[in-house]
Amino acid sequence: MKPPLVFVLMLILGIVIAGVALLRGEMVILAIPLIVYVCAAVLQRPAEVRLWVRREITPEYASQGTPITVRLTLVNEGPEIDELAVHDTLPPGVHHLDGEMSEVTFLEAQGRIELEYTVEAQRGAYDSYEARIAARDFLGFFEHAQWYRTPARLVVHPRYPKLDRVRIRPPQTRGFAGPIAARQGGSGLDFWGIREYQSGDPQRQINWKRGTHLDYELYTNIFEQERVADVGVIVDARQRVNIGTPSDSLFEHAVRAAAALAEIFLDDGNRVSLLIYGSGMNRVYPGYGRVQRDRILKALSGANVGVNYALENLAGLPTRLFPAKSQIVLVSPLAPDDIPVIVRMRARGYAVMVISPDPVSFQASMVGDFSSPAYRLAYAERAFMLLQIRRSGVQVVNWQTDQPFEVVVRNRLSRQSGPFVSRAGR
Amino acid sequence: MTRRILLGLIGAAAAVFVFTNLVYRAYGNAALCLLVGVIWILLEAQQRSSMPSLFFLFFVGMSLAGVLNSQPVVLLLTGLSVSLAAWDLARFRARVGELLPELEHKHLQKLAITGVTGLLIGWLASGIRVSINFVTLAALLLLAMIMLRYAIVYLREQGD
Repeated sequence: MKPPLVFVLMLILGIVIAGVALLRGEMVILAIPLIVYVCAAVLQRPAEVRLWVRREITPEYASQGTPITVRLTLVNEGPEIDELAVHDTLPPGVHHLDGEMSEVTFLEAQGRIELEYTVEAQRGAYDSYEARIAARDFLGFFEHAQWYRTPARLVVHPRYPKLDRVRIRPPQTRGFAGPIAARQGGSGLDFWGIREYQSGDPQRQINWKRGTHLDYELYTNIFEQERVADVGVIVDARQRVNIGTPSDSLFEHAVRAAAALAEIFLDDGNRVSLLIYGSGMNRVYPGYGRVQRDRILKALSGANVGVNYALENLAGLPTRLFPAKSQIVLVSPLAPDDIPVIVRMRARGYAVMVISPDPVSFQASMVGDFSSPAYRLAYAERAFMLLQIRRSGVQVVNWQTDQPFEVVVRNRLSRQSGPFVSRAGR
Repeated sequence: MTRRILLGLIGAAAAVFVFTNLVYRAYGNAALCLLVGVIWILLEAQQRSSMPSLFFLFFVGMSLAGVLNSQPVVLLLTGLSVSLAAWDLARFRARVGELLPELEHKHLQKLAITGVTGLLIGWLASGIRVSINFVTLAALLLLAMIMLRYAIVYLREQGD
């Protein structure tokens, strides 16, 4: 029962009691308009509300920051409703941009309401929305409220930068032509070696100089074959290494980096798989092309940091899930106890690249402290840890997240960034 | 439209009570009604959060005072009904916010029917004279209170 109804009932009671107590019939008569008013509300109070509710989201799959249109349609399948208050509730992470999210209206039988508005959403997979729908009598004394859940699905994948091509050199490649040097002689661009001329070798591949210098035999230049490779991207989603604030977190940077790397590897024709290692292990099996990119982006959309005591350190990482001697890209802020695991991966023959969002500079920038002894100690400890990993032949990128990832990749990993320094696989 | 009607209703309610009190030479009450009416109008005109229940309660109090001063019930009923309608419209505006024409039209229509019905029944009732002794009156009152209690319990259950 709503407070205004209680107020009117109290007034009626007070007027009647006063009239009787003072023996003034005229006073009792004054209660009549109020009684009629309450009776009208009782007669018009909402019966059971039967509504057909539908939600459409366009597009259902979008990148972070893209305006998304939500359309909520209601059709009244019951009797007319004097006042229907509709309020659509946004899930956490979704922000209203434009349009009406709520409305109060009169709705006749078989009448229809449409609410259309625009939102933008943070990275995530959203599959449950609620709309509060309240039917009231025309005086607002009685209310019949219900929550309607609509199962429309919205997947917002991370917004990630477009990267230059990344140099990788796994020990083993696959059989198809691609951009990665395969450590095998054949047709390609980079010089690989020479061998004795065999009939049928193209004339332009004959190494004339070599023949004249040595024994007047003919030799043929051979080039390094270029193939595609298996690339496994591992995103570290352990809560203990991913620090953050409500507005920013290392994990968000890691997810964006993983998405960008997965896309560039897929664009090169490689077979890419994904493992999100945190509260559990969410895996996308190896695949090629756009479909695989969408699978990876969907998995990254729903990724969150979590705690699992069985997966507290990287020792539980199922590296055997990745093809032998393939390229592994680990995106992790790293903890000191992760070093042996990474070294072991390298020892098992994988080419390992570590993209490490720097938690020390991230935290220092949060508090604006780059000069205290604590910062210097943490910085030195991290530098030592990264050095240990580098010495095992792992390619390490220490990414200070205030720098754009594409710039870091261009400077440190792209094919135009100078000679390849890792000795992976040699 | 609702805003204009609301301001008109507040003005009308205040005018009725001012007129009635002036006729019966209760100048202080008349001045008070005028002051309260003006304040309510100003608050509603500026769309500030007024307290319509408080203003309505004031006019109910003025009606009861009018009965005690032997003022005509018909005028008091009119003033009370008009202030009741004003209270309802003030709540309606606060509850709904942006008014859609269809909703506004339906509400005003139903409110007019309810208000006029209440006023007519009141007027008719004011012409009836029934003489009952105190015991019967007390019994009727007890019955009314019991019925009211049951009605409240029923409505509360319906609301849940």
